[in-house]
Amino acid sequence: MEMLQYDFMQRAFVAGILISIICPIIGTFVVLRRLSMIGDTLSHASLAGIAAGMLGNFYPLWGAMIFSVAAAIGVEKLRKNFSQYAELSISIVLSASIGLAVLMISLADSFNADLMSFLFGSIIAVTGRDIIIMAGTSIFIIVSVLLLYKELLYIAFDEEGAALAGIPTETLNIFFTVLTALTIVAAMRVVGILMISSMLVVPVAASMQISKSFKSTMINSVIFAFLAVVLGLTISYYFNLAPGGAIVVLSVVILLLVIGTKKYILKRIV
Amino acid sequence: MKSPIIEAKNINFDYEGRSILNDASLEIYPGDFMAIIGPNGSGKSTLMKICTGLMKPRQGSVTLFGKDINKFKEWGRIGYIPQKATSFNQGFPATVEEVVKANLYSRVGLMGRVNKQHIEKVQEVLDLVGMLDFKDRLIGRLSGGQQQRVFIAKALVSSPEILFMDEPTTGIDANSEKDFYALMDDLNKEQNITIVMVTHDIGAVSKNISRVICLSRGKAHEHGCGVDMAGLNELYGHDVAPLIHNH
Repeated sequence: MEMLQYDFMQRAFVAGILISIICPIIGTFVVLRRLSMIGDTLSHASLAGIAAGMLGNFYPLWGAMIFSVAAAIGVEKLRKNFSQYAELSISIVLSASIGLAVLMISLADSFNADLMSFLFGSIIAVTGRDIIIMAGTSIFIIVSVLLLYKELLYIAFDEEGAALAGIPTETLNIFFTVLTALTIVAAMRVVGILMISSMLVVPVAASMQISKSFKSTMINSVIFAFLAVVLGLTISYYFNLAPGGAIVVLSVVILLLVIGTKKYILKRIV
Repeated sequence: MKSPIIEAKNINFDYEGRSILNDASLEIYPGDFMAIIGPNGSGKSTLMKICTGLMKPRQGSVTLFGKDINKFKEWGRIGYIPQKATSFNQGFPATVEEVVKANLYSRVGLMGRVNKQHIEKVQEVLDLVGMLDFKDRLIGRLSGGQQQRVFIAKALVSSPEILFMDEPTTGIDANSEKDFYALMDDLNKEQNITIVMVTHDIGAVSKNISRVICLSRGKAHEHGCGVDMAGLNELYGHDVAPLIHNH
């Protein structure tokens, strides 16, 4: 593997593998709670944070983290005001985030190559510092989900029943949305802001086609995401393509293959 | 004289400026098999949700097992099956066992681990409701009656002393309904679980129930045992012909 001789590719693969674990884990809950649009909202909030970092001359990922966590809390607070229209809170925060991002970018006059790498993802842009932050964030996300697995499953399946069982649903909803925000910040360097939400959703959609339990849905979606990331990074290296685009297109190809195979098998059985 | 395990006193509840419950009071005793009946919009589900802490009244007090509801923590002692229990996302990829296990929270607590004894308890309640053979099946692939049994098992896994059910037979066929009432009778008489259900199907339930509470004009009125149907026609404003399923 010639490409792995390069430090930047080693970093890209470490980052990619971390993404292929945390995105589907969080994505499984996001999809089953019918909050698929939240990925777009929080990624646009993180774009505003990156622009703020460029404007204030501090490490952009800190800006992304602060803005996306703030947006996550905003979505949860607004969700209570629109209990019958949960998606409305997501749309409101999405609009505010895009507006803020555009303002910050124009104020910082920062529509440059660095910003483009955040938007579309980049292999060479992943630094050692990014890897340390991504690894720390990923460990925190994985441990949190392992510890709160049964509570998060219950809330995703039946929020009212979970509340009656004594689960602190309000606190856990905020905590879960913060985990989603952290996942997006961790993934944005490689996949790109514009495509992160696909990484949360598409591998899970493929997995739901074939999985026979909640646990297997999560495990299979990690496998699909891993395949898409490893193949996507390899293709983007050899063909000089944006990694985010390659990874997301491959995820969709995997989804279509799963749907096609399932239909073919069902047809043969019937 | 037994003391009530649940006591709701002088409950007032408004919805969009309209009074739904007006000084309604209710006492539930251990061993009761109670039906709460009344016309649509009379506040049956609201009263049940207030008794389980899912809604807060404008005025009035609720005591659960001798404790004020605001200080009550032992939620595992109360089981609740909502009106739309079987109208969940049918594509949710969870097995029957995973759904029942989810309600082990009251036994294991926040971030607690599920052990062998807990799994045995899950299997025990699935066996009790006749769904053990379906434990690895996806919940969305079961019939309405089977799903209802899984939700009962889910409620039972925390070993509740009282089971609240909101229109539990909605959307299930006549045979499943008959099995359902047989199961309720067993839970009440053999497992000593107090049962409270909101229902329109007073005819089917009347053979088993010990108390009937009618909600009308915001107040709760107690009737005699289930076979005494006098007054129902007046309450509903038209002739009520109970249907007893004996097939």
